Formats: sequence, C-alpha cells, structure tokens
Amino acid sequence: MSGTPIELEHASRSYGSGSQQVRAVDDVSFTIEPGQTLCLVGESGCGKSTTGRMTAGLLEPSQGRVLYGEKEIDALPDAEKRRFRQAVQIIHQDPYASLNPIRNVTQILSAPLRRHKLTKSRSELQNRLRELLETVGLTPPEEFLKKYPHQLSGGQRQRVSVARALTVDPEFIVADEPVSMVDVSMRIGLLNMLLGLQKDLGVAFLFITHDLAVAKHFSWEGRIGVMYLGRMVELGPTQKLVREPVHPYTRALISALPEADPELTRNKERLSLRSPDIPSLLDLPAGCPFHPRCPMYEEGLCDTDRPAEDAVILEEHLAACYVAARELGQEDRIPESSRAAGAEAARRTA
Amino acid sequence: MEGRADVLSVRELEIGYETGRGLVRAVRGVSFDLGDDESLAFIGESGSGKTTLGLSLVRLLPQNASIAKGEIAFRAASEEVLDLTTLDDEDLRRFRWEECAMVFQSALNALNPVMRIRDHFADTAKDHSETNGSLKGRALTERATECLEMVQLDPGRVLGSFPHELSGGMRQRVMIALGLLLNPRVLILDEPTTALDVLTQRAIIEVLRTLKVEHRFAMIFVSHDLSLAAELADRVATTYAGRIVELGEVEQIFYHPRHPYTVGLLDAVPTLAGGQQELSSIPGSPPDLIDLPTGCKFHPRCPYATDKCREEDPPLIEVAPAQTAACWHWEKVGSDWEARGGEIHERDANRA
Repeated sequence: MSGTPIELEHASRSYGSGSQQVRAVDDVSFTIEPGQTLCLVGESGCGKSTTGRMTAGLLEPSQGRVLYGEKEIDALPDAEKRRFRQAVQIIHQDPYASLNPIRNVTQILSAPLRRHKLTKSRSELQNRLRELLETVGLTPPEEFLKKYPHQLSGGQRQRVSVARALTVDPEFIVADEPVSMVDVSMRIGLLNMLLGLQKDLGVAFLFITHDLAVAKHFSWEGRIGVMYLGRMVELGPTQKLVREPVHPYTRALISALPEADPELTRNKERLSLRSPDIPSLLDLPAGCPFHPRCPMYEEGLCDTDRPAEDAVILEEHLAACYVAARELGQEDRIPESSRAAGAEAARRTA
Repeated sequence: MEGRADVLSVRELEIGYETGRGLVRAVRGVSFDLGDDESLAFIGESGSGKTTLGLSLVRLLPQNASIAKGEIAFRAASEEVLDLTTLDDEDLRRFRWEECAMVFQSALNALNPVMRIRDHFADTAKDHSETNGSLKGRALTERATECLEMVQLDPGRVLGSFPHELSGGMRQRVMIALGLLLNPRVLILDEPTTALDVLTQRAIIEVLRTLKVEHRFAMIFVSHDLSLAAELADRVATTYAGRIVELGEVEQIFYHPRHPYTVGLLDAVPTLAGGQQELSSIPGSPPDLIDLPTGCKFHPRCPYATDKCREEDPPLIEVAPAQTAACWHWEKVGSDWEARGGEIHERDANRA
C-alpha cells in the first residue's frame, strides 16, 4: 500500500491555564513511515495518549507541528483533510464506551461506509460488512451482523471497533491501549489479529500500551518509544531496546516488570530507585525529570540541563541521558553547563 | 509443606446470585486448604468466581448472593474452629480484621474520602475495643506507625493525610497497613496490583513479599494476573466458571500444567525475557454462568474436548503429588506439554 508518512516535529501540548498549566507532552518528535509500527510505552500520566491524539489529528499541538507528508495537518485544504481523516483511524481503549449501545453491528459499520460513499449498492454494502467481520475474526459474519454491543464480550466488541476503523481502508491506525480491558485469554488473539492487518494490509500503527511485554510482542520488527513525564526518554528498535536498554528509566521498567514465570521473576535483577514517588507534572524537577528517582543520578550533571532526546545516538537508537552519553563516549553531546556543574560537584565530594 | 496446620479449610462451597435472568452459579463445589504461613493465588478471568470466593471468606457477599452449600472452617488464634457459614453477626464482626482482613480491589473507593488516614485506623480499633481495649491513644498511634512502616510508607506524612492526597499506590499500601492493624492470621487480597503502574506494582509486590517472608502472614490472592502468582504464591489454583480446575504448587502450575485451561493461559501471556514467542489465545469466550454448558464447562473452548467431556463434568483428581486437575485428558495434556519442553529450554537459554 502506498502511503504518506506522519511526523511529529517538536510537538508539545499543555492543558490548563495560568499557573495551573500542565505540559502533558513536551517536545516530542518522531516519524512513522507507511507500514511501520511504533509502540509508545510509559506509566499513566506520561503523555502517551495525548501524543496519540495529536498524531491522529484529534488534538492540536500547543507548540510544534504534526505533518502528514510534507504538510501540517491543520493547514490541509479541505479535500486533503478529508483524505487524512480517512487515512488515519483511532481505536480507543474502552470497548464498552466507544460503541453506541443502541446500534447493532450492521448500523455501526455501515455508517462510515455511507458517510464516505464507499459502497454503491445494498448488496455491495452487505458484502463489505461480511468481509470486514471476517478480517477481524468475527466468523461466521451472519451471527454478528444483528448483534448489539451488550450481546458481545469485551474482546468481540474491540474487534467491532477494529472493523469500524477498517471500513475506510486506513493507512494508519492509532491504537490506544486496545487490549488492556480485554480478558487475558482473548488478549493475544486480538493482538495477533492487529498484527495480521499490519502484515497483510500494510497498515502502519502507533500502538499505545503501558505493558512493555505487549509492546515487545506487537512491534518485534518495529520500534518502541518510552515516555516519562511528557518526554520521550528512549526511542529505538524493539529488539535492541528490550535487550540493551540505555536509559535508566527503561532499565527500571524492565527490571520491575513481573513475569509469568516463577523462577525468572523471583530471581530477576532489581534496579532500586532513589524514590518510589513520581514527581507532579505541576512541579517538575530541574534538569532530567527522572533524576530524583534515578539510580545513576550524578549531582550537577543530571540536575542542570534537561537532556535532549538524542543525547545518546546509537544508529537508530536514541536516549535522553547524560550519564549514558558519557559512558558511551558521547561526551560532546552534553552541554558545557552540565559538564561544568558535574565536574564541580565531583570536585566538592572528592 | 508437611506438618503445617491449616488455618482455613473450605469444603464443597456453592455460592449463587439471584438475578432477574436466573441463578448465577458463581462458585461451584470449591474445596481447598490454606496453611498458616502459606500464600495461595486464585487465577482466572473475569466471571470465574474468584472475587465472590474471596468475599465469601469474610462473609461480605452482596444481598442477592447466598451460600447454598458447603463449609468454611477457620482455625482462630485461640485454636477454636469457627464455621464461617453459620457465624452470627457479632462474632462475624470480631472475626473480620482480627482473624482475617480483606484488601479490596479499588483502594480509592475503599477509604472514606472525608476521613484522615489516622481516623481510619482509630475507627477500626474502636470497633474492636472489647478485645483490643488497650489499642487507643498513644498505643494506637504506635501500632499504626508500625503497620505503615511495614508497607514502606512514611507515617509522619501519611497519618495526617486525606485519601485524595495520596497516590494510588500509596492508598493501596494504606489499605494493606489497615488490614495488618489487628494482626490477623489471614490476609485476602483482591487484585492488589491491578490498575497500578509497573514501578508502583513492584513496590506493592515487595511489600507483600516482606509480609510473607518476614511476618509469615497467610495470604490469599485473587487475580487475573499470572505474573503476580508467579511472584508471590506458594500454591496456585486456576479457576474457571466458578470451579477450581487445577491446583498445585507454583512450579507445578507454571512448569507442568495438566489442565488445558492452565496451558491456554500460559500460552496467552507474553513475557519480556527471551525472543519472539508463538502466542495464541483460547478460542471463544467464558461461559454464561446462568446457562452453563453440559459436562466439562471448558469443553466449548478446549482443543482436547471429546464426547465424554460434553457429557460428564470431570472431578478434580490427583495428577501428581500435591497437584490436582479436573480434566478427562490430563495425561495427554501433560505429555503434549512436556513434549514441547524444547521450547521451554529455549526460554531457559534465553534467560541465561
């Protein structure tokens, strides 16, 4: 499938006003090429959903730009904007809230087909509905066409949401925690179905999840971006990021994650944080936002400047950490002020 | 595990909910024992009856639920054996908190929003003053401080706070500390880590591990999360449609499962360690508890199902020492699993 890349360019988004402003997303940049997958991972409040909504064009950035191809989406002429709306779809987290309870599956799926005049006759519509349900694994389709959301399980509802997103043949899907409310035994089926869309239809994904293991499974060939307090702290190819994480926050997440294997999980190496509590977005620490909790914290170096998201560059793999930059021989990526403050602090303690 | 006295024995428990559509059979013929410093995890999907089971152990079932059959025997600190199904209100009030405390799923809703944390402790102590008369004033503050320290909270900050001033993870730990106040023998935890962030989950798990290893509390976990059981349980019970379908030591359940539902759950959970995995989900959805399938309740979703499974519900039988499973085809399930052993060794190799 030919497609158009979507790019976030130094995008930020604030909520609130005056002194009560919260920067939910702060200076995030990435590009998703046609057919590619990027998983955003992070704890609640890290800005991953806000980033997803900006990428889908549902929210304007307060600063920075969201580009569809070469053009900023808010500046697209009407015809192209319509094309963008068709090309980019979103799947929400809660399948109990995102489907209208008084519409049956046929009504839910035919609305966008009619709106965008994608089917010309009743028989064509019927065929398309069957095809969509088969694609999302709701078979036989006849059994589901007349069903209302309350007659479906959580997993089946989420499949209807996916089918609805597919009605317009999207190039790109933003999936915001699509499996977190689905029962364990059905979760993988849903993930594998989405993976199939990526492989067979060439759909690109921005996949948002709090679960690193799910991210690893979904974007094995793609990339993972780790967010913390509104910032992208590490972004890299999945296999590298999971095996050789660079940022101490990613390392902390990996070491903290409980695994469904008793020996493995009980003997896992733990990284202990300096503080268990996450700082408030209203009162962010100076320098690196992770420094009050970071086990690698160094006075001066970490609390002076905020590390740029590409403080460490290992080919496609980026991380926002000065300690890692120094250890990897990329000292030139550390600004002079932080280097001086770090050296000064080291002298004082020595 | 030999020679350990059981603090709790449940036999043939049946619990139903009366609803407009009919009787919901949430717990069907459940039997198990809990040793006095043991931790037992019930794992299963939503609607498997695990929360109902937890609630029944402190007799906090909703109005429309009733225990139709069975017994719950609890050996109190005084060595007296209490039958929980017949305990009167007064004894029940004393039993809760003093003998057995429950930590609920949603810590935000479980604390009173207009009461400071200190007053939650005072309230609980006051309600039990006839047996814990000395627990007031300074003694109460000392005990509350001790409990909060056990869950790694700063008592100076937390005692004077209102619930909304604390984070989700802190509230969850307050609930656990409150449960410890009257030094119960058993702690029941319903989804203690669900809806918490990874780093917060880790803090709760470490607190529970300390309570288990150093303070030797007996614990029952109810969770859909296999990794919580892998972290903390001595024994694991897999529940499906209101029944225990497999029960064994944690290594047996995770490394040598004999019930196809346990195998299905293990195959459906991605791990972070190791390479890319072949994962598959269990086809179909959990059954309607009002209109249960005939025979084995898992048969509509089971790859091993035969005519016998459609007709007769299999009993829970011993499949290895200390391990029981309710499946007509457990031997085949077991040999297929062990034949896949290569896969597991691969996982081991990746781990190293």
